[in-house]
Amino acid sequence: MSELDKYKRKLQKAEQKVRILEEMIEMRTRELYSANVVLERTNTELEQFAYVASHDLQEPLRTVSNFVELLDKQYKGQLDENADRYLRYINASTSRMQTLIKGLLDFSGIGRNKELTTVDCNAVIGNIIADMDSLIKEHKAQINYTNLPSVTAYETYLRQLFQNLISNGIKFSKPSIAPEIHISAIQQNGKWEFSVQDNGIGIDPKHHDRIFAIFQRLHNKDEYEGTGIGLAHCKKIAELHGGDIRMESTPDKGSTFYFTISN
Amino acid sequence: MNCILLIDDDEPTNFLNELVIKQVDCAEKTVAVQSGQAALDFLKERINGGYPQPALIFLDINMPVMNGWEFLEEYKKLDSDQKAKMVMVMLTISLNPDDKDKADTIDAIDDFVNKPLTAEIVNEILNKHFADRL
Repeated sequence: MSELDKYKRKLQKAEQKVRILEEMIEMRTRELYSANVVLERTNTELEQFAYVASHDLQEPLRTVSNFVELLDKQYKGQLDENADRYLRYINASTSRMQTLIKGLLDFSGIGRNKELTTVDCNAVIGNIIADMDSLIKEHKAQINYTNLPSVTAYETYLRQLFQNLISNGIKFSKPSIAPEIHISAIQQNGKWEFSVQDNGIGIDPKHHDRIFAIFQRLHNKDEYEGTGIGLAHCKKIAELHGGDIRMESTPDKGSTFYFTISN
Repeated sequence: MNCILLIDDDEPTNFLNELVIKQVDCAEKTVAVQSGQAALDFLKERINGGYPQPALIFLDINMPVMNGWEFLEEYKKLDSDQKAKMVMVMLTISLNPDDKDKADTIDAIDDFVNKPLTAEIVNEILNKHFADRL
């Protein structure tokens, strides 16, 4: 066999290998594509389910609370003490369920504008402070922020993230100490890391790993109201922006939440 | 029986369960607390020289701060004269498989019941577990 034939053979073998590899790649691509189609469909179905469930649940719930309100208005004091207590329980439970449903709707992100835009974080915080005016005044809270960056983000989501962390900072403040919240940002590894620091009651280290789980609550309802959705939602939003969320906290000193946003 | 202890963070649920137990009229005293810690405090407090030692504890699993599983961890450490005769775990919906496996490994749990309690459920428990005292 001539040298030339040897080379031809080798070339043929190599070409064959390339063809096999190409076929494998094509097959994997097709698999990935169909898996993606399935995932997208499941996601849409889940969103629809959450939407229908929460809207259809809200209606009968509103009817219940409307009629309890009527009973309360027209018959309060005419029935006995027990009846008034029952009405109070029904009221508390229906409003808790309403808050839960609203929280779930927010969490599932239904009906939100999903468009990436350039968002000025100073303006976002300014708007949140204006919106939370009465709560801030009621608690004599101070919210400090300077020179926050503009980032590419889903504005309504990012706003929700900041709002959850700020309202947590106010909610979990120490009795008789006015809440102070500091918001800042640094650039790190091509991402922006934001921090929201409070001077509140802090979180026991043994709870640190579970605070971002949905429906996880660390306090009884009569101490601190809540649905257990807020921080899970924050985590979801940070991840949506290619980032993550973490916290550092010392009980009785306060907590700092850090989250990153891809640049 | 001497005493039934109800542990549930939801006040209306406690109230409703208390009402049912009173209706069945099977205990001299019913005590309802809203947290695992309050339950431990109650079990550990001496009254008239002895511990309350309820015949029966109804325990909710899904509670903030200390959930039902964490309560059972602490409960295990109590002296035997501080423990109840029987612990029933109350459920809103049936256990998911993970929780079921977990529950099977915990000796302190005697049985499961659905909440809220009803007179039928309480009577069933009495027949099944306290028949000798009726």
